[in-house]
Amino acid sequence: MTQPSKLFCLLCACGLVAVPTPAEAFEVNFGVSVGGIQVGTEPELAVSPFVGLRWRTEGGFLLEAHDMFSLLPDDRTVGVHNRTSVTLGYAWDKGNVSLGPSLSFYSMPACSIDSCRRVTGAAPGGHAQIDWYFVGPLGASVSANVAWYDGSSFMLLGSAAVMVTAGPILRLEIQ
Amino acid sequence: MKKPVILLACALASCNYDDGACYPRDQGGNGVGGGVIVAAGAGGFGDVPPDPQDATDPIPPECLDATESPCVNKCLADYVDEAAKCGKIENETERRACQDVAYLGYKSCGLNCTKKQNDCLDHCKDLCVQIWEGCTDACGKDNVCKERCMRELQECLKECKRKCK
Repeated sequence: MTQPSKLFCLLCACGLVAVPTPAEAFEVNFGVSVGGIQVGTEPELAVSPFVGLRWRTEGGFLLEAHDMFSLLPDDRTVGVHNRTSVTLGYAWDKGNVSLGPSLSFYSMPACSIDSCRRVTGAAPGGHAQIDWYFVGPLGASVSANVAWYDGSSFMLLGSAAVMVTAGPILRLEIQ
Repeated sequence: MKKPVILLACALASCNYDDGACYPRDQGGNGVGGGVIVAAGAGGFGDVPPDPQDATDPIPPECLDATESPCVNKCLADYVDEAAKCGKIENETERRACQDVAYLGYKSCGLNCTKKQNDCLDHCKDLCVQIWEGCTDACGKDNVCKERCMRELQECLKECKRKCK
């Protein structure tokens, strides 16, 4: 006999259908972006899978919860950075733009002039994202985030960080 | 367990802490550069004394530079004195208030140190670059001369780091 939770999951999976976005919709989107993070003067590579849950009204206004997990590799170690944001924006048939606050948790190597250490912390900031869907549910996403990295670290003290990423995005409507 | 809770509690105000051993930038960074993030200025100031390093893993000189400036050490010594005085107060509320004041004083003192170090370093670097520009202009197309200018620039920057501790 099928358990209720498995049945629920099956129904959810069936509900994910790649169709053009209707006027009012609840959708999930995901993808992998590549970009960079910069504090001070030196940018570093970020490989960032992401997922978002988006609800848009008939008028085109949207509300989205978005999470991006970034891997920040260097020769010695790999940093991790997770950013969650809640944004408001506007959507049209082929795309959307949104803006809102974000909160990041990170554990990554950071350097002063001549020495480095792993720094762990939390950073509030702001997130902006533009998506453009050019082949049905498939499109491209560009996001930018500015956050404030501060605390007791000797390496990261009062530094604004900018992270910009871009990559493919797929949206699926939840019916 | 305690650190994640602290992170959650202070997330809205931004907080962080150093977590792991210090190593020189040119060990395992990205080429000449280094780690993932480069903070502007001469490194930072911590609101708690740095963790002791493993005795079998001596502190690289570069890491000493980042944490052991005379200015910060003076702040730390003052903080230790103040905290010791606070520790003698029997009333817990008053003792905690005293410790909070001592801690804020330590943090303020350390931030002033960092600001002075950064200002000093910025000024010194500007002078080095001015000297280097004059040197390379005088070299014309002489590449050997330009290499000498570059070496002098590197020495000048090292001297800045020594001066601005």
